[in-house]
Amino acid sequence: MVLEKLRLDGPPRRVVIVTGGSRGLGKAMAISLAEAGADICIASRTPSQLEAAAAEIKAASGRDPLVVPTNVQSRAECDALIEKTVSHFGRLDVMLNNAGIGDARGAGARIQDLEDADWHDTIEVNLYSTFYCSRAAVRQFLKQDQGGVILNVASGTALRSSPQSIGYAAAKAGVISLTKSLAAQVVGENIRVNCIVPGFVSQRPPRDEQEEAMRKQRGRFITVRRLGEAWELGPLAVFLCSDASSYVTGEAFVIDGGGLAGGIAPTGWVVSEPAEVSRG
Amino acid sequence: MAEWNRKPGYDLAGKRALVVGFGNPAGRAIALALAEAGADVAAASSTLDGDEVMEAKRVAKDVAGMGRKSLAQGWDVTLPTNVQVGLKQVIKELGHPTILVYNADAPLARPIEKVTDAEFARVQAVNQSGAFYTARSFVREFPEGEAGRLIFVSTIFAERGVEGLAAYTTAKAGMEGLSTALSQELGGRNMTSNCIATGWMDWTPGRGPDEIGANLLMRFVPMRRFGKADELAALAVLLASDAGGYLNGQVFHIDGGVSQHL
Repeated sequence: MVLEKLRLDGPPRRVVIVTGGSRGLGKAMAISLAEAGADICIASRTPSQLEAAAAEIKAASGRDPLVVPTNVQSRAECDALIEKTVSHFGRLDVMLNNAGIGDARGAGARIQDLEDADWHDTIEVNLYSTFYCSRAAVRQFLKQDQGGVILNVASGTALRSSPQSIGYAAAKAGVISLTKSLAAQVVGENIRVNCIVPGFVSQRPPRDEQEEAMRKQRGRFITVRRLGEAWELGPLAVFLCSDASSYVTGEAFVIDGGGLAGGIAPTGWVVSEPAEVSRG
Repeated sequence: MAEWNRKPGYDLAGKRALVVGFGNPAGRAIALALAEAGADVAAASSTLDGDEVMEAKRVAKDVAGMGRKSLAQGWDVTLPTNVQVGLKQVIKELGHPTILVYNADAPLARPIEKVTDAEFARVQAVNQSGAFYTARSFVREFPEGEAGRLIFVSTIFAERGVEGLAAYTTAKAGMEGLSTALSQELGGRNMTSNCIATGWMDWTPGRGPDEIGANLLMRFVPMRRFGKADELAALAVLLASDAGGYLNGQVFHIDGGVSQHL
């Protein structure tokens, strides 16, 4: 049966690292992957947030995730993240590079005012981290000699203009490019590399009615008339991390409600009917 | 903090799907996966070719064997009235489908100077016009207030050129264009439209021998093999599900990495 291929409980049970896994999209994907049967390691900078997310993942799956406080800007910490995961679970099957800073320092700045440090921070957290963790994961996959999966998270801003965050958009374009080239490089070792490209997605449920109303307002400008919600990335991540996507590599899967497929007229714009179609 | 209202990604219980096109194995694989996920399935052939009509009947029987409701019909998608009447019959017997999978496929490999008018018209009619007629009827008959899903099975030839496929590429590109347009036109009505683009599959005409040593094309595919119909099925279920509502207007390649070749 086809849907059994979506299970991650093996044997052997798949081990997944999710960077930026303590909140937002990372946490949502970690929960879905745990529900599909995977053992999860979540990494992020803030230990208190990690512990709270770990409790949610355990509640969803019944299994304790591993928690590794990590600054993904540091190569050494990325290497240590993979080592700790392998020493705890005994293996690694999926590297989910989700860590990113959308609201990095320098967001909204015009180029003439953008500091070197702001630019470097943005590129490091979003792109270097993906390289560091992917390299360490591939080294582990090669040791295990059983293939593996790398799943990156980019952004729709990488594919269109994003004047408010030029560094972020450039870094995420780098993530998509890395996905394609790395996929071609490691395909012979049975390692698949893909990328999720989210559009406007709410990171957490609304805190109050005011926030809900604000989101509804923003959603009016999106093709499906609403913002996406973080949990909606979960089933897509399960597909791309599991054997159900065995013939998919080097791909960027956009989940944006239809924004990138349109975007050449205001949402809801209906082209007025021409006087007549020529009947020549 | 409030919780998300999460919906299951791979559960189609209580839903009804219409799958059109059984001339290649993708129709069967997707129809059975939708049924496995809980959907009732109407199977319609895209042409009155005897083998295709019989395959639609066998698929409907296998769906019934899984405990779902099903029915089979012989359609000619090049005839808009046939499509409209056929869909009305499906609605009468099975209820309104809210999931449409369009898998009609009429390939043609021939240098442009040798393609006849009749061949060109046929390739456009089945791949492109049939997609339009089917989608139009599906939307016309769509039950208000439900979430709708349109899934077009396309190929990498819609976006990329290969010698000898001018007529086929024209038609498949038209079908992808239809899906893109509908993603915008229907997005505000709680309906999504997407394409699953197949690569070189183990049924693609002209793919050559199945032994890699004898097949230059297979060595060109990064995964060094042709794809199988089952490898399309899980994504179709996700796109069809309530959790797929933010996936819209896209072409998802399932192609062993070949479309990322430089």
